[in-house]
Amino acid sequence: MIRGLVWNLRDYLRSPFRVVVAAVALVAAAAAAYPLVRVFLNLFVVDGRVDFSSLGQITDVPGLGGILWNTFSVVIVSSILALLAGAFLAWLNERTDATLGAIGRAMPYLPFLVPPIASAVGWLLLFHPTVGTGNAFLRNVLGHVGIHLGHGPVNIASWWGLTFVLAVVHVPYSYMVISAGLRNLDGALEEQSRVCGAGTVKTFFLVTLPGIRNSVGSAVLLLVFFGLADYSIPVIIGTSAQIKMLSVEVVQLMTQKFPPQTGAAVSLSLVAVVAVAVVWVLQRRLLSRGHFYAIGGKGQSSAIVRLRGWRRPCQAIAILFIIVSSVLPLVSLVIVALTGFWSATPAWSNISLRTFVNVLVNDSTSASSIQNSLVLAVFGATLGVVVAALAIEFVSSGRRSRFTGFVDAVIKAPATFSIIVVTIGVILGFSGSPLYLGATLTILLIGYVVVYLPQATVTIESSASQVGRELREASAVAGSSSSGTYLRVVAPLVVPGLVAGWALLFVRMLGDLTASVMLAGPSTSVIGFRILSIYSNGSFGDLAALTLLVTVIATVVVFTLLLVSNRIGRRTRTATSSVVAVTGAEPAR
Amino acid sequence: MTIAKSVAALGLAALALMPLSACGNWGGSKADATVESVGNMDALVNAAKKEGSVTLYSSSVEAIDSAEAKAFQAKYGITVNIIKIGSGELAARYQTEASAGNVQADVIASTCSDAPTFKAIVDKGWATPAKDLGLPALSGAGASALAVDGVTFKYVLMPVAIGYNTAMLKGADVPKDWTALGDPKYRGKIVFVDPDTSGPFYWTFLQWLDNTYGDDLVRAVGAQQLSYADVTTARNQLGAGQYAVDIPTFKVSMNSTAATGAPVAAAVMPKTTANESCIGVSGPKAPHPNAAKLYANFMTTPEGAAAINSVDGVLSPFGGASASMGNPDPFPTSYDENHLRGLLGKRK
Repeated sequence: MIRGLVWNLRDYLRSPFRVVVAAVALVAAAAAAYPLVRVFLNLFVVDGRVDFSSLGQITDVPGLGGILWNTFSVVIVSSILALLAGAFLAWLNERTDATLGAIGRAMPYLPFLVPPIASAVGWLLLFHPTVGTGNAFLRNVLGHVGIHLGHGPVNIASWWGLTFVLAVVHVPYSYMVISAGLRNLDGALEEQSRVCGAGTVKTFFLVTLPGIRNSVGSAVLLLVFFGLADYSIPVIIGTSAQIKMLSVEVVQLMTQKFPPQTGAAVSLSLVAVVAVAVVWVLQRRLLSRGHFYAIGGKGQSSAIVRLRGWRRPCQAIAILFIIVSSVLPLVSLVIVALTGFWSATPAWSNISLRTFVNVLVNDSTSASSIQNSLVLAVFGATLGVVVAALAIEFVSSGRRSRFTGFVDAVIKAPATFSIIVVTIGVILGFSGSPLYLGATLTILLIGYVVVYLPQATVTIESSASQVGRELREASAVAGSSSSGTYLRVVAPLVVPGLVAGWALLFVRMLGDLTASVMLAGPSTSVIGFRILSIYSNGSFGDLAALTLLVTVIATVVVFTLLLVSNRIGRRTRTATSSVVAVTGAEPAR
Repeated sequence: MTIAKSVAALGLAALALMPLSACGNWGGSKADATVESVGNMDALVNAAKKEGSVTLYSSSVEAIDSAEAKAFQAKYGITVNIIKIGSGELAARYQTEASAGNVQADVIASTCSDAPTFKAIVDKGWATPAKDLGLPALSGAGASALAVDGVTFKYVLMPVAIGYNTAMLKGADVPKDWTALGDPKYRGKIVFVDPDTSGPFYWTFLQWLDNTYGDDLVRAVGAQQLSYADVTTARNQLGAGQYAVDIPTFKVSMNSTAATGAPVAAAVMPKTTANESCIGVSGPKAPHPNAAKLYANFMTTPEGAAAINSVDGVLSPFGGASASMGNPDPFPTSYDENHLRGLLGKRK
């Protein structure tokens, strides 16, 4: 690795642009590694000696057995449900004639636009066993057929409610990975299976499912990771159901105790890290066994399964999923925001925009939270995208060595830990001496960038990987410098990736709760922090208005950027075609 | 300009503008300041005006702090940043920040029941004991406002009331005093703020009820098929008509819920006790120590008391309150949880 480092340095010192690229990549790696190093130093180094005894502090957590049981039972069952739903929707859209076209492909991603906190609040307002608006409606309907209930029939404030909401919010992860797997699977294999006499179901289980085993494994890993890391849903639904989850306990140990119980919090978080590692090992073992299909290559086709009489019911199920996952919780938020207060029977005569005026104008804390979150999301997303793009340039453009591989791995390392662990590391690293950045906007910015940088890197990397070396070489042969090549050739091709990465970071940072709840201070309130504060002390009308505003801002920004990205994508494709025509070079596929 | 250049320029411009967007707290801590004496009011006012603002962490009702802040701001032109925060989190956050040498709150306002926090912040030198602030109103007869061995002082009293749904209870059905809660007509219609999850105030209130009316009333209340919920959920359930009665609550809280259009009101009890909120004043390490001292002093003046008394349902211990607010009993200083739990029939 040392030899790789020397090679890379020699290589990079030749051009000022490449010096900047290398410096940014190394700073990004240091920023990603520092919080994690602080966590492990805090936990395992006592008085300058390695000491694992602090792991024992986990036993000080009251009700530990119950917390672990709740967490793992909810995460396992919700992951299974999300996997099944995501796989079914992906199969419908990619492999059957029940697809709803572009709308169908976009719809499973809609829950991404509704921040999990908004979704959790929406579900609670809708199906609280006694005051839920949806329950009151259902009781009314059931009353007409002679069934009179005092509460329910749905109880979202329960183990099943918590599991269900977690599953619904996480379906996009499994959909995203499995639909990509289905797109890459050669449809001819399924076609041959059917020609040999196998039916749709048999083909699915004997050909399709084994063929996307890799994607299913990745989906399970993602679902378990995000299930264990999620804080919004456990804190809203879990607390109402009096079900304590690991993420909520860790945050409470850090924010509701003095002094903060860092040792116990980190030890508890490491349980989640170990669980994800176990799933990862199982996934690797599963992949190393058995045989895989060779993907067909350029002649690849996707055979469409004709569902005949099942087509309409399947489409109805897909539409129902969208209504249930995204529209229903938003409807309840709209009702409560417009009527001003939470009620089983909405006071329609009370409709006004008062709650929106409250959170935007009258309530200075909410207004400044929106302002802080917008500023942090814009700057954080910009900083994250610039850093990620330059770090990818460092890793992918120069001479590949173990050192560049190491830098790449370090930048992505936070993604393998729970957001909670990384955030604790940021607190340990930056809140006290010598910087004293605790409860400032700067520590929030650092935290957001460190936590979300790996996601930006992965998003931009997929665009950057399409830029072949031939294009760079053609530019260099034509006399362009490193910076000129990057700005004129590479950057235009990765713009769609940059825009997508920016949109992803913006939405995540705007609605972030997990990192914000530990990093924000009362004088540096951000939206997630404020939502939680209103949930504990304020009016549900204001709560609904604020969560709706976040959803609207996220949706408008994402759709605008997608439109811009598509336009830029079309223009750059045209420009690239010209480059290809002139130079004969081809972008990598 | 090419697309790439535009994107790069926008990105760099956004990053360059970051330090200029002075809309928040981006920096770290600062050195200790000199704190003027209340005896030299002109010097204190000038120093406070130079600091320009004061930050208040408060677990109290927002309407009270807003009224006080508005009057203070009108008199001195000093901005009051009110940060609403739950009492448990307030205690942890203040101490965590202070122990890192990064005191953010100039003044804290929390329930006087949270004596350990007030003691701790004074013992560690982060806050000045109220008795040592030199506030004229806290000497002589005014010393009765001091609490927790003089480390803090009471600045507002909120008489405990019964919240009720105005659509469900009218006329004679509205409870007139605490003994009404034992009436079987309220069975299954009462939501009680859960003392296990909502803080010691609620156990202490039950202790007052037990001390004043005896075990039989608390036992009778416990037999009413009570539903337990946190403060916010209880208030929302009352507004939603799920329950007819919400206890214990305050007139000021019910007023703010009623302002959203919810059909709720508070029944003011002729004999009751009051939740007492206390003040802690940070020392020289705070960002605005002079403004903090001036703000604390303002609360004890007739103008400050008038601002508190202007809020319907609360009263200042520094006089001027309407006679209609009555004279609430002192709040008990301790409670017997096991005894009260047994009377209510409430399991842990």
